Amino acid sequence: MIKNLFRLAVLGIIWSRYKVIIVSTALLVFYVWLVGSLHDDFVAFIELEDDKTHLAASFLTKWLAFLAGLIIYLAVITRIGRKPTVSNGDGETKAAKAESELTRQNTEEDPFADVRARKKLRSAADFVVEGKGSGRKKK
Amino acid sequence: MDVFNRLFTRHRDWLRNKAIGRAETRILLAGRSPGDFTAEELEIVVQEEESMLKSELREKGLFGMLALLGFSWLG
Repeated sequence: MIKNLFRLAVLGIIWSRYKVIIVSTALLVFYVWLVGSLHDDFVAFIELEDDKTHLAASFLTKWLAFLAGLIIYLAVITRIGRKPTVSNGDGETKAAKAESELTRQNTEEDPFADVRARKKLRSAADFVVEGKGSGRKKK
Repeated sequence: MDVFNRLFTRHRDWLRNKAIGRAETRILLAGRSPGDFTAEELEIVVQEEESMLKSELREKGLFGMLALLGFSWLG
């Protein structure tokens, strides 16, 4: 049961992370198979007809189709890895602007900004102890 | 172990935001606003909520594990 759950969780993580790459790779494989089988059919047809005038062109077309598929696949893969950088007139990206705006709002309006920034929160007891400690130091 | 650090930070942020949300609700239900409190007072309230959340999660996790293993309180 736990083994299956673990397997499912790992598969879920892999799928959510590499979904686009997995789908595009599967599509590329399907495309290569489709072009290859179409070409095989065409070659079989030519052999039956005994007319080999278009054979060289068919091979050329097949390899060009493979190359085009590969280029599109690589374009899709590299596009995913890149972060969107839409810049406005001042040269500041939208993402950076939004982030700075959020930070500004956090510090100005959010009463919990300090709490959010803290790594470890102190309890009431911690404050009491700290207060006593500082009191002793003053003596 | 960058991945683990990132996961840990994400979990901590999620927990903190959840605790802040609960603290805010608690303060509003008491008829006051978070702006009425000092930073230290808010920290105490959020800390309390965070520890409650942690213990709830721990309890749920334990019950979940017991349920997965087929144990129950009723036998």
